[in-house]
Amino acid sequence: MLAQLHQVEQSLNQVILGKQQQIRLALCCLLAEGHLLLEDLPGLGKTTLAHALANSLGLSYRRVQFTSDLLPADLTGISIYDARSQQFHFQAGPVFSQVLLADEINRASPKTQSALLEAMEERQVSTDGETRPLPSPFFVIATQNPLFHAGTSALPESQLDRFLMRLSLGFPARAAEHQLLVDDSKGSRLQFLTQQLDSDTLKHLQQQVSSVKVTDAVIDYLLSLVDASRNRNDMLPLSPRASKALLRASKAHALLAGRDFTSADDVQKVFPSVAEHRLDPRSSAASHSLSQILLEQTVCPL
Amino acid sequence: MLVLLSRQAILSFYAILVAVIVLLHQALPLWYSAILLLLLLYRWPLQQSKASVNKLKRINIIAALILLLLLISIRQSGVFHFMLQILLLSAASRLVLIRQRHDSHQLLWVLYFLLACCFIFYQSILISLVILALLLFTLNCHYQLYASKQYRLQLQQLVKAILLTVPIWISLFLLFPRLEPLWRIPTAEAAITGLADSLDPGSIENLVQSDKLAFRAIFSDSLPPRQQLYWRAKVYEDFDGRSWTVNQRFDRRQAVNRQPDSNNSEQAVSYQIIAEVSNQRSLFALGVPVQYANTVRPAAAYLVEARRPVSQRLSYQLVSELQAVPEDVAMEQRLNIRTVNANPETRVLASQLAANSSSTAELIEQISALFRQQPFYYSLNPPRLGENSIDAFLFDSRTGFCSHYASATAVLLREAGVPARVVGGYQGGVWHEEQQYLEVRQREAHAWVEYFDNGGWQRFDPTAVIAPERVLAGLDAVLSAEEQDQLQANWRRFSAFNYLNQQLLHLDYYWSVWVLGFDDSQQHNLWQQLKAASKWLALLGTGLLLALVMWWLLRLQRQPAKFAAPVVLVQRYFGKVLNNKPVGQHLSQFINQLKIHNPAHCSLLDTVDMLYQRALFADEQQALLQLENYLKQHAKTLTTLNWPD
Repeated sequence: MLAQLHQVEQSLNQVILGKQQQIRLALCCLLAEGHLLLEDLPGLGKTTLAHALANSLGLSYRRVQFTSDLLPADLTGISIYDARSQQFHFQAGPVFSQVLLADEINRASPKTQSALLEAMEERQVSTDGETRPLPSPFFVIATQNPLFHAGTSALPESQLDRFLMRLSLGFPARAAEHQLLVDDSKGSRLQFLTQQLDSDTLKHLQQQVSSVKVTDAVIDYLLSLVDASRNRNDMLPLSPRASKALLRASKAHALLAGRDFTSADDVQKVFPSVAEHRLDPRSSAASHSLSQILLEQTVCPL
Repeated sequence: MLVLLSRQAILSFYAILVAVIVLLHQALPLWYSAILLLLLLYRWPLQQSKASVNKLKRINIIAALILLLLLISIRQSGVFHFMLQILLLSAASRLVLIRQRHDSHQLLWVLYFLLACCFIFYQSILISLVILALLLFTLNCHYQLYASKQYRLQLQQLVKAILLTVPIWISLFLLFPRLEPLWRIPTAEAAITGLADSLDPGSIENLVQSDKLAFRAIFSDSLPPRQQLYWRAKVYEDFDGRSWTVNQRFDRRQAVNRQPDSNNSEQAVSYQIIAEVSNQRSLFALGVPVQYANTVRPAAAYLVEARRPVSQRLSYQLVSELQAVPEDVAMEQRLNIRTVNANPETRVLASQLAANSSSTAELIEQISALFRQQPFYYSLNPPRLGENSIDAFLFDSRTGFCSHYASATAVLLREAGVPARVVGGYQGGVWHEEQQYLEVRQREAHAWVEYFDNGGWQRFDPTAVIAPERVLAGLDAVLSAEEQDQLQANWRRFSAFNYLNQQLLHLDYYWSVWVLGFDDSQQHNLWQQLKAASKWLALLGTGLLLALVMWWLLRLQRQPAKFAAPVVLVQRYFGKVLNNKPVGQHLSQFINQLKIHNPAHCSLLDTVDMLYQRALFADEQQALLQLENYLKQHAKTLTTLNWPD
């Protein structure tokens, strides 16, 4: 099963060239059942990655292009009056899928953004006084442009906190871009995606993540990282949700590395992607300055 | 990172700065304090506006204008005060613009400096406590800018910082007053207090209204009778018809240390004086000082003076003989018989008195009788006297304070052919029985006469004739209720306040005695007392030590091992090379770096890393044992691991 996962990882690496680390972290995020936020300049392949991830996990997915006039009902769905049966029928919106690809999420108005809040945390949607559960598994893979771009409105901290990780692909290396141009004539890069997981395997892998071993020493180290953020006033403090996310992501990272125990290295590897957007919501995804400060200054006794 | 200052922080800065302005008011002209306060008020209207660029320009222009005003008035204020004014200006204009945490650094350091400068103007315990409180408040504000929001952590850090610095505080507090001052403020800037070098009719009345401490005296034996407590400070020998001044000979240093001619030990009094800041040289002594401590030196006319103007509290030990002051230099008599061509009526009176008396003692008796029999009054508010002040006093107003009587008597004596001079100083004092010291304030300022007879300068105090209670019971006994109101000490009547103030003064006194006057004999005394109590001290010390050990043991038991077993193992066998590990790095990462520097031991390190990870993170006992064995086997190799410098 783990071998299958690694094959998926490899084929993803064929789609997005030269970004092994980010792809591993993205997989890590999904294995840890967390939502993923991709932030980059336009044209760096974040939508491609989102498509590829959704594809390779073997899940049903829907894509919504967020715009400033998108309304909450456009996401959650709407009750329509059926003249024949003389009843309201709920027409489910795109949120009722296993993977929601929210493209350019920060172009939507705050109202629409917050419509996602409940879906992301509770995995359910309440409309017209009725609560409807979302399919399982449910992921949001969102992409966004950097904040300084025209027509963007910042995601509120509460929503940022619900994304397990925020990743940035960044510019490809010269060789990778060369390869990209050479392959351009062959059509969409998504065709390189040869491997898929089925949803059973995914469920199984996710269960495996939770059974990865964590010793008290690692948890202590993780807590001292979180504590360090709470004792400073140049950054926002990390919430218990953040520490839970950190632990889950670390476990998933250990699993991806082929281990059945979590090491301090796992915590340190996932920490920037998990913590940075919670420490400073206004920072750009490429910067890891605050989390690096915490990593460097917190004593790691392990 | 941009951190905006909270409203609370800005308000605290305001409070501190206003307090500093109030404390430093002596260095600031009134208009300048007003301008500073207006400048501070300028912030409120600005808080709403957004145009920050304009503001900076505007404030700069305003500050430049104020600076110009200051430069114009520099003649009046002097360089030292000018510096303080500039600092205050910079602090105020900084505060008006301040927005971010980053801006507050210079402001805070300037505030610290200004607070320290306040000590130049105040030495009393009460104000020192106020300044200290302000200093602590500023420190706290500074700390709060960076502190975490957790109160527990704050408390921990603060307690730790205070515990660390308290020994330094105490040692500085005890050590610094004993050192010579490192620098001196030009005396012209510092206000001279106490008796001045000239004595006008009226100058003592002004001095007496001040409640300031002049000095304190501690007697080795019992307190001499009050009639003997004439503390000589200044001798006035030049008279110009109206006011008395100190002769130039007092400016010259006395070369030799005079020894007493006759050792009259019965009359000898040994005492210690703690003089307050006066910014002048002259000090206080009873009668004829015969033994000097080395902090002071003899001056002309058997006075005592400090080696440099007293700019911080000075303690000195003296032995005096309570007898007539001997002749100092040969010309002293001639110097004190000079008369001036003024006060014609007094001259006539003097010649009459001289004709009626055969000896100097008789002349003195006649002068006393004159004051006693004619309607002379003692008053704190004598009428203003004209050009011939002695004439006006003796024949017209007949109302005066001690300086009037002393001055008139000295002139009468001189006109009658007897050498005489006016002596300024203090008379009496308040004796504190419990604390065993005499407190002498400016209100005890006094003037009397010395005339030459029987080979020495005899003391004659005309005030004792007019108002004997002044000498026997103190100033309050002679003054009317209205006049008492005029004195600063009026508030002392409120008993609670008085009590508190007196306690503070006693505290101040003990500090002076123990810190300033801690000399060899006191060291010896302390040692003797310690020796006597050594048994108890030893017991106490052992008890403390035991308690400490117990506490440490308990603590050790309660705390779980700080590191997991594999970590301890690795720390033991890797040794010094681990010091190069950055605090945030985990060991596997460090081992990877070690591999780069020690390519020969790559496989060894890999195995260690693998076993370590399994033992620590997977919690495998087997791996732990393997790790221990493996490390033991390769202990020697591990000590040779190198790390580039």
